[in-house]
Amino acid sequence: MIYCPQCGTPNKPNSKFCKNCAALLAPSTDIRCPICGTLNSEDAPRCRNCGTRLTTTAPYSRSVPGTSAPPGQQTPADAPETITPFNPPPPAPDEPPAPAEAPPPARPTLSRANSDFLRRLGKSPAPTAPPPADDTALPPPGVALTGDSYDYSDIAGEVTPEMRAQLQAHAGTVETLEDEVALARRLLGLAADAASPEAPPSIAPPSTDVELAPPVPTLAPPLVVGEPAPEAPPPLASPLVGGELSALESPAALPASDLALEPPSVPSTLELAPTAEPPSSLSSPELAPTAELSTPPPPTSPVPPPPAVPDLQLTGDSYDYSDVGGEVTAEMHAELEAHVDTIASVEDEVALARRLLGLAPEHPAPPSGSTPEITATPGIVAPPPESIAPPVHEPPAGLPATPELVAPPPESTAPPELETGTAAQLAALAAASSAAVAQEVPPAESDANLAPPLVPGELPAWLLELAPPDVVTPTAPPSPGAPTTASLSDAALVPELDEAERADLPDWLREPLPAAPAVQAETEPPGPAVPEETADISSPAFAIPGQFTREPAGPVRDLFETVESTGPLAGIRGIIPLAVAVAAPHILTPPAAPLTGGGQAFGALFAPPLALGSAARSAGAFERTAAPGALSSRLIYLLILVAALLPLFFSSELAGLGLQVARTPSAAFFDRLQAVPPGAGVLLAFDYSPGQAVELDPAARAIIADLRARDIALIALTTNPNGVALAQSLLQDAPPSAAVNLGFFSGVRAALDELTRGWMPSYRASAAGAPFGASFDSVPSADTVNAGYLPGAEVGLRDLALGWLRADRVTATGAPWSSFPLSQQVRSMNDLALVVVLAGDDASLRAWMEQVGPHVTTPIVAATTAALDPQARNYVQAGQLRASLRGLTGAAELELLGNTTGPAVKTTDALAFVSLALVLVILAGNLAGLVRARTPRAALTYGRPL
Amino acid sequence: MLGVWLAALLTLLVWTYLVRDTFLFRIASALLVGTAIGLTSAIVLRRVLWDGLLVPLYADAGNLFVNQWPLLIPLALGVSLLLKLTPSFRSTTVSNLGLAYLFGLGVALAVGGALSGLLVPQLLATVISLAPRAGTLTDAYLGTLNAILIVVGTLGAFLTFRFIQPGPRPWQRVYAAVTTGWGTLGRGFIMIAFGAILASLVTARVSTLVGQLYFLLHDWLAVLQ
Repeated sequence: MIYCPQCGTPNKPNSKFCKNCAALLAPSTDIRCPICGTLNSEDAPRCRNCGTRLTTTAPYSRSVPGTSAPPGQQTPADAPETITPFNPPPPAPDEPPAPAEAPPPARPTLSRANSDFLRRLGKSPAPTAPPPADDTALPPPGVALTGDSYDYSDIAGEVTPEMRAQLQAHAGTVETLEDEVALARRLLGLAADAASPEAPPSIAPPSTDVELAPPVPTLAPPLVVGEPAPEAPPPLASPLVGGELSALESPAALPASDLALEPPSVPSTLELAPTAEPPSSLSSPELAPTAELSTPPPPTSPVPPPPAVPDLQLTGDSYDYSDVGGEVTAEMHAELEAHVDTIASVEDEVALARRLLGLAPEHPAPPSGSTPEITATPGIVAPPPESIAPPVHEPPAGLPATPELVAPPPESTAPPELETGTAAQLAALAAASSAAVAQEVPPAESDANLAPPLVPGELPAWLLELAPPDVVTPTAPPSPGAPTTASLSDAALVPELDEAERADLPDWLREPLPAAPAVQAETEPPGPAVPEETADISSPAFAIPGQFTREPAGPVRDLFETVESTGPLAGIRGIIPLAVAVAAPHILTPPAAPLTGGGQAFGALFAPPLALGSAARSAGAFERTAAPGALSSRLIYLLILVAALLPLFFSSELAGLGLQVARTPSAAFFDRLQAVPPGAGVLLAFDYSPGQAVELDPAARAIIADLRARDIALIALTTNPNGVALAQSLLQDAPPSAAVNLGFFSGVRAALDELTRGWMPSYRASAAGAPFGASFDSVPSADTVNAGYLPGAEVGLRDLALGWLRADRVTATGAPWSSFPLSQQVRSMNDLALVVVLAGDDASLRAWMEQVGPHVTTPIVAATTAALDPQARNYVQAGQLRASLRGLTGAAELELLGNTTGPAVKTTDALAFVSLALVLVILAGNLAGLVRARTPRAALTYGRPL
Repeated sequence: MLGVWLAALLTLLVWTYLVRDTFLFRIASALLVGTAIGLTSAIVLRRVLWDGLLVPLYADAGNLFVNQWPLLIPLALGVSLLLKLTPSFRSTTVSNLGLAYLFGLGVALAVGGALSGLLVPQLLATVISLAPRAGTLTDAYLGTLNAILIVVGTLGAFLTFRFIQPGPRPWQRVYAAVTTGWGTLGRGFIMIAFGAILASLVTARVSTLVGQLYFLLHDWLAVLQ
């Protein structure tokens, strides 16, 4: 949490502004894990999320309170990552828009991604040559040692009374001037190698635990165009008061407090000074493609001695500090006034003013007329090896950018220490970001003064080692006014890495991607249109040469975003076209997700076989579906027809071939029929439909013939309305009884039988033409009664079983049941000798078993269809049925048992042949299916489609 | 002779379905359904309603409530069923009387008949002795083997439909193993029964085909003796 210094509102750790009052917040002291990005407390040695050891100064300063890391062991890479809000000072209202003015120091915060990169840069080797001796940093020879009135202002930093007291305490250990200066520098928190007073003071990391921005040096303007480094820059006009303040251009002459590192005691407004910020513009989405990394000027070594300070009015006069840069408020004025006693010179005053303004101490805004323009230089990366950003030597406005203006590093200038090189690169990056910010509102004249790219000869040796050769390829300077292409190739700003260094990179940086486009961006001319793409120099693609890409940290432009090209809205993007918005629906096809490397590999390896398998399966399915429907089924039909027709043309002597009748269910059935005594009554239930008549009629004929042959009275009824006609037809076709066995009707019956044998055809004809049931009325049969339809299904059967036929029941012939002599003989079902059920479906057979069987003692047998035979066997097994006859086969067996050859026997051979043919068809089909089931697998195995 | 020709012609019309679903097959199907329903309706109207109800009522109309009053009950129930056809009395209690009587009587008969005529006899049929029957030695042992198969198959068929998760105790696991194995065996019996039913069904249809072929060749074409 970051608590707002103004309102006290707690804000998120990475907040830049207060969510309540929008005030700028101090940077969070939390430590972000470099692996997972989790924010950890400042004293956490390891990440609370992933356990990664936090490479911060915590082992020295935070985990062990009271201890501090040795100054020499602290590097910028070890410094905790901080996010410093950006607070650009507003330009002075009366400040003339100098075309050569450096871009505003707007530098967005440093992102995590490039922080790793920066840390890596901090570890990159840099030429370590001893810094040149600079006698100007030493106090004058006449100055006394510790204890005198020397204020150490020449060293850099602000010497407080406490520090002075400490210096006094160490007076015993100070023997020489160098020792004293080194002590003072150490107390000031400057560079660790402060023993050398010539070292640039701004490079030293802080030795305190204060959460500070990476101790980068003062960021130079994007481009420093001036004289070559070996030579001292020419004295420029004083930017402050018009006098000669060239002394400020000397780093050694700048107060230490104005340098990069800000002491904790600096007010919050000063903490937001961009001088202490890391090059946060690395992740800036506004980074324009024209980001040029200008080479900060080489250190002016040896720094010329400060010029003579003219007589100027100090604090308290009417000077408004407008030349310094920034807007001096009343509070700042008051503070300046309060420091009147500490200001001894104009330099001090300017330094204090700049510090209050939050400006870089070594960058006093030079007069516009004396400074060169800050020009966009494509393809430039050349951070100077020297640490201290030298005074800005900008060419005058209108001065064409020439390669000579780009200050190459002096050959004699030794590169500074490691941090110096890093700081220089950061300065270059920051300059690029400044240029990007300047691109948003580019001055019209800036394009005319584009600095040419650096040539190899202008780069320092250590930078040439770092940068690939293609980076320093000079490019033609763009024509004035034309869009400038800044080729910030990914190899431009990052040196090559060896294996050890590459191992230090995070995984996502080490991950190579095949196509890493070079970061190129078009610098669009000033206009309302926003640049299409921004060159994200903070991306890994920028950082690692040629092989690494990463999504830009900035906002991603909508792919479907339209840009108005004509009309008054030209150049404005995001406008919904009127015609499309009103008339046509938006049918947006989302872009297909690109295949990753693994996906491409998978597709290359397995897609063709899968396609072959799919094709094989499709072909197999087509064959399987087409074969039965087209040809196979018709072949089966033909085979069955032939198998059924051939036996029918056999001779009658072969009929019933192989039919066994002994010890069969049909034999049991026959035995039950034979057990019926002559003259007894038998009930025949015709409970089947005409569709089952083909199968059951032969059995019915055989039964009726056998019973009628023994002069057994037959009573037919049915629970199926269609069974009435079937029963009537079978009874009519049955041969008349050969015996007289019905009591007093016997004589009459015999006479009638003899009588009817002669005119039977006419009788049948008349019966067929007569109304339904009229034939039996006209010619009643004494031993055969068609009781007709029994309605009510189960109810009727139960009533039949319990009450038998009512006397007034109308039979199929139309005569009442009581009119038949048989009604006197059979008064209940128990008076019957046998009940034969001709059942064609399960419901009728079950109804007889459930409603009749339990209530009668008369034995019941059933002749069923072949499909119903298994169920009939269950009833036989349970004793509910005494015997069963199985369809056409049973009828044939019954015929054979009765020593007759009827239609059942003649057709049973055909039935056997068809059954045999069906067996062969089933076997052939299974074999074909088995072979076909193996064929697709074999095709898949060997990669051959069917 | 006309009936034979009609029957033969309708048979051929139905067989045209072997080629495809033709109009001729539809004619034959419509004739079959129409004649079946017409015959059923004629029989019911004539033999049930007319001969069994209306004629007795009309014949003795003077003594309707003296001699023939029992016939008024089915008449009333039949009328109540016909009220279902009227929008006004479709959901009235009167219209539900015939339906209620029909359902009540049918359920009572079905349940009673299933218990007395199907379930109990089938269960008693499985209560058989495994001792060898009297007779020849072969018959005796075959009878015993048949009885064993009946018992094992019947119980296995029941255990096939046992879907109980076994318990954690040892005896429960043993019981589950035994019942699962036995149920698997019973499933085999069930499959055999299904196969027998399917074969019987195929035989029945083939019998119909052969019988109809015999009809065409013998009764219609007279090419067979």
